[in-house]
Amino acid sequence: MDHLPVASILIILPLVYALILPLLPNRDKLLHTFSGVGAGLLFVLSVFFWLATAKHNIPVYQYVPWLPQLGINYIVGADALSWVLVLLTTFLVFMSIVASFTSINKRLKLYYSMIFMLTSAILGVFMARDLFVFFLFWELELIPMYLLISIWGGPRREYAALKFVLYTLFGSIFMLAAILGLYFLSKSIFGDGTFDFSRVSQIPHLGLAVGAQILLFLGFFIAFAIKLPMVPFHTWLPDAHVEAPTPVSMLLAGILLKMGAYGMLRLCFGWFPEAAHVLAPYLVLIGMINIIYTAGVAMVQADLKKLIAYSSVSHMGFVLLGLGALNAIGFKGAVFQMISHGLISAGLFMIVGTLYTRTHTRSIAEMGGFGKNLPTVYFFALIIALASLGLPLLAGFPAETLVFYGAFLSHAFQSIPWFGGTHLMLSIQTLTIISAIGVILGAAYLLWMFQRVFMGPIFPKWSDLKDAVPSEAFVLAGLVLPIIIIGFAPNLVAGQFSSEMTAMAAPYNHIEEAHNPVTTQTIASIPRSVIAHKKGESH
Amino acid sequence: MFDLSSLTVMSQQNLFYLLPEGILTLGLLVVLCLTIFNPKKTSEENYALMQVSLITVLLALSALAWTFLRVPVITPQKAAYSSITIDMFGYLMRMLILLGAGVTIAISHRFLEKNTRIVSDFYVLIMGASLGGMLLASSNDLIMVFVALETLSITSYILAGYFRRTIKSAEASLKYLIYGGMGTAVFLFGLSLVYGLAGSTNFQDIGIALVHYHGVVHPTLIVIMLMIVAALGFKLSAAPFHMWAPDVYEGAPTPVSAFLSVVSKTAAFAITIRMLLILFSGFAEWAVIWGILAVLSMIIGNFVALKQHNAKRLLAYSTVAHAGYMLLGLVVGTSVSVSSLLFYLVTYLFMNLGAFAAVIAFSTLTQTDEITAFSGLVQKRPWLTFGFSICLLSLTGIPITAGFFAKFFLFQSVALAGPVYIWLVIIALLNSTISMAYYLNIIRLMVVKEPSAEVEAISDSAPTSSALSTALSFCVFATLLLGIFASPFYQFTTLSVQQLAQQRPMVISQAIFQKK
Repeated sequence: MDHLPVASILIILPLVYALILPLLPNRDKLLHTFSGVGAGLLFVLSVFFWLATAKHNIPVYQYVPWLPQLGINYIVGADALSWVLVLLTTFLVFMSIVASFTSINKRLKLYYSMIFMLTSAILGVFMARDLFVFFLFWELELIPMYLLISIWGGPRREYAALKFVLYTLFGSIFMLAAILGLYFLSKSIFGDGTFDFSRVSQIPHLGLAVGAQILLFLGFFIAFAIKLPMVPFHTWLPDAHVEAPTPVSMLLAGILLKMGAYGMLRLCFGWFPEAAHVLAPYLVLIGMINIIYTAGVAMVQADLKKLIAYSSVSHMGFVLLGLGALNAIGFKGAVFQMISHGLISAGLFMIVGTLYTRTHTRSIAEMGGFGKNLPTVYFFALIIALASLGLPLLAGFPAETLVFYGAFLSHAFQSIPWFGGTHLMLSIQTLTIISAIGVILGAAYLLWMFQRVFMGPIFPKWSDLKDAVPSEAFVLAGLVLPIIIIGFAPNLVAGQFSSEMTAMAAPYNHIEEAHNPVTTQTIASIPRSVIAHKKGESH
Repeated sequence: MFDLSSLTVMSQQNLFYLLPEGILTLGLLVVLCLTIFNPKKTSEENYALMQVSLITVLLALSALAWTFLRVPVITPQKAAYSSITIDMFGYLMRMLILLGAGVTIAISHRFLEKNTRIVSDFYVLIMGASLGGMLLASSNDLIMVFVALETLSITSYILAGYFRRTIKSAEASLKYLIYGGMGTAVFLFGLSLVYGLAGSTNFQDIGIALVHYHGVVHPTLIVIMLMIVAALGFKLSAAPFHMWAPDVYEGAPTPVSAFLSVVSKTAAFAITIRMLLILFSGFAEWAVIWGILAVLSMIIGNFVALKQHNAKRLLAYSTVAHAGYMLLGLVVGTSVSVSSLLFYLVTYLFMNLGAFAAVIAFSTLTQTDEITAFSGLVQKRPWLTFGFSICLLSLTGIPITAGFFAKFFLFQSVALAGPVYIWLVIIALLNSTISMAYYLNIIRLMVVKEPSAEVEAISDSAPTSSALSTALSFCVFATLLLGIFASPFYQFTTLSVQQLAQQRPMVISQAIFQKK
C-alpha cells in the first residue's frame, strides 16, 4: 500500500474507461453494463484504498517531476478532507450511472465516456496538491460537462451549456491570475517558482501584506463562488439543472458544486487567514442572502426541477455561513453540509427524474396524487425531502446544526464595516438567526411541493403510471441508506475530518482567544476549587 | 592531440553536416527524372512515387538524427565557407521542416489523385521548397539567405497554382507571386544596405561591424529594419503584411495551404530569429516594431477568423493570429521567451498540420470544406472527429494538449520580462479567449449537432487513405505527447537558444561598454 500510487490510480482509472468505451461494440446493454460495473469497481476500489491508507494513517502522496524548469510538478495526494469528497464522488458517479440505465438511450458510448472523463477531472481537483495540476483538472471538467448538457439535455440545452461554460471560464480567469500571482511571489520569495500546495501556502505567512492577501483570496474566491454557486453568480445553475438530464443533474448538484466549496475551504480559508478574517463579515452576509433569497425564489417556482435547483443553491449557502464562522465547528459543519447536500440533492434530482421519465413534464401544476400508484417513489421522496428540510435523525440535521452552532459561538465579527467608516450593526449571531429562517422556508417549500406532487387526488391521465423499476429503486435506496445512517450516527462522518478541521481552524484560534480569555488562555490561573465548584454546579 | 576524423571533416568544409540536404536533393532528382521520362502514369505508379518521396524525406530525417548524434554540436560549427551554421537551433528547425514536408506529402496523395492528373510533380516541388527552407534555417550569410529564400518562395508560387485549371488556384498563385516578388525586392534592397553599411555578407562580420551603431539612431539602420521587417513579416503572414494569406490559403490546394502555413512559416521564423539574435541583437528598436506587428496580427487574425464560413479560410486567419502570439517571443527577446517561441513553433507544426489533415480528410469525403458541413461528423467518423478536436483544442490552448503549454510558456516568459509587457500578455489572453469561440464552435458542430446533409451522405465504406490517416494520427499523437511530456522538448529549445546566443557579437559590445 505504501508504494502504490493510490491517488493516480483513482484519477486514471475512469480515463481508461473513457478510452475503452469507444472501442466496444455498439450494443446498448453491453455499454450500460460495462459502465455500471466499471463505476461500481471504482467505488469499491476507492473504499478499499481509503480503508487501507487513511485507517492506518498512511499518507497518500505522489510527486512526479513534470516541468521542473518551471516548477510545475505532478503532485497528487489525499488527506481526510479529500478522502470524504473522493468517496462521495465515486459513490455518486456509481449511482448516477445506474440512474442512466433508464433515462439515457442515445449515443451511449460518448455519454459514458464523458461521464468518466468528468469523474476523472473531479477526482483530480479533489486530490491535486499542485496549483497547476489543480487548474488543469478544474478546466478539464468543462469539456465533458458542456457536452453532457448540450447533447443529452432539454430543449434549451445549448444555451444552458454555453452559459455554464462561460460563467465557469469567467471565474477561471481570476483564479489563473491568482495562481500566477502566487507563482511570481514564490519566485521572488523562494528564488524558484513553484505551484506546490505545501510551499505556496507558506507565502501568506512570510510577511505578505494583507491587501495582497485579500486580492489573492478574492481571485480564487470568485472562481469558487461561481461554482458554489453564490448569489449573485448563481443564475447559471437553474438553467443548467433544468436542461441537464437527470444523472447529470445528480452529478452537478452532488459533486460539481462541492468543487467550489472544497476550493474555498482549502485554498481561500486554509491559506489566507488574515484575508479571511477581513472578508468574513461580507461572506456571511452573502451566505445569509444566499440562504434566504434563493429559498424565497424556490417557494414560487412552478417547475419542479427549478424548485429543487434553487433549494440546492439555498443549502449551499450554509457552507458559506459555516466557513465564515472561522472556527473548527463551523468548518466541520461546512464539510458535513457538503456531504449531506451531495447525497440529498442527488436524491431529490433522482426523484424529479423518475417522475419526468414517466410524465414528461416538470410542471408542478400538472402533478398530484403520485403517492397512490408510485408507492416506492413516494416513500423515498418523503425521506429525502425530510432530510433536506433538516429533520433530526436524517443527514441534513447534523450538518445544519453544526453550522449554526459554529456560527453562533463564533466571534468572527460584531459588526460589518460599511462605506465611509460606518458599520452595519449586524453581528454573526444576528445573521445566523436570520439564516435560520431559511430552514423554516425550506420546510415550507419542500413540504408544499411534496403535498402538491404526491398527495391529493390524481389526474386521470396519470392513472396508469408504473412504480419505480429495480434500477431506479436501487439508486433511491442507495442514496437514502447513507442519509439515514449518517442521521443516526453523524460521528461516523464527522469523525473522519474532525481533527483535520481543527488543525485547519488553528490560524483562527486567536479570534476566540481575544474574546473569550477565560476558556483558553487563563484557564491555568483559575483556582482548581473554582473549576471543581463549577463542575459540581453543572451536575 | 590531432584528431584525424575531425581534420577530414574540416577539410571538406564540414559538408558532412549537410548530409540530409544532400539526400533530399538526390531524392528530388530521382523523382524528377522518373516524372519526366514517364509522363503518363497510372495510379499505382503515382503511389509508388509518393512512397519514394516519403522515403527520401524519412531518410533525410534519419540522416539529420545521425549527424546530430554522430558529432554532437557542443559549440556552433561553420560549414560551406561559413555560409552555413550548424547549431542545435538549425537542427531543430531542419527537423521541423522535414517533418512538415513528410506529413504534407502523406496527406496530399489522395487529395491530388481526386483533383488532378499530374500528381508526382507535386512531391518534387515540396521537396525543393523544403530544401530551400532547410538551407534558410541554417544560413549564416546574406547571399545564402537570399538564395535559400528564393528556392523556398519560387517553388511555393508554383505550388499555390498547382491546380492550374482552377481559377481560384491560379489567382492564388498570381497573387502570391506579385506580393512575394515585392517582398523579395524589398528584402534584397534591405540586405544590400546592410552590406553597404557593414562591408560583408557574413553574419558574424556584420554583427561586429554593427556594434559601432549600438545605441545610435542611424537613418540607414531604420530603413534597413523597416525593409527587413516588411519582407519577413510577409513571409510570416503577420499583419499588416498578411493580406495575401487568406486568399492564397483558400485558393491553393489544401495540402499546399498546410505546407505554406507550417513549413514556410517555420523557415521564416528560423531566419527571423537568427538574423535578429545574431545580426541585430543590440538594437532595441525592433521590439517596438515587432510589438505592433504582434498585436495587429493577433487582433486582425482572431476577429476576422470569427466571421469565416470556410474551414480553410478560418485556419488561414488563425495562422495569422498564431504568428501574432509567436511574435511576442521576439518582442521580449530574452532567451527564455525565444525558447518558448521555439516550443510554440514545434507544437504549432503538429497541431496545425493535424487540423489541415483533418480538413483534407473531410473534403475528400464530402467535396466541401464549409464549416457548417462538419455538423454531426462524430456519428459517421468518430476517430476523425477525435483527431480534429484534439488539434482544435490544442490550437485554442486547452489544458493537457501541447498548445496549452506552448501558450503558457510563452505568455509567462513575456510577463516575467517586465511590467511593460504585461499589457501584451493581457491582449494575448483576451485574444485566445476570442479564438475559443471559433475553434470550439467547430467541435460543437461536429459533436453536438445532428449530421448535415453532406455528412449524412458519407457512405460507411468510403475509403480513407492510409497515408492520410497515419499522418493525422501522428500529428494528434505528437500534440498529446508534447502536452504531457513537454519537459525534454523545452530543454532542447532552451539549449538551441543558448547556442544562438553564443554566436552573437554581444560579448564584445558588452566588453566595450564596460570599459567605458
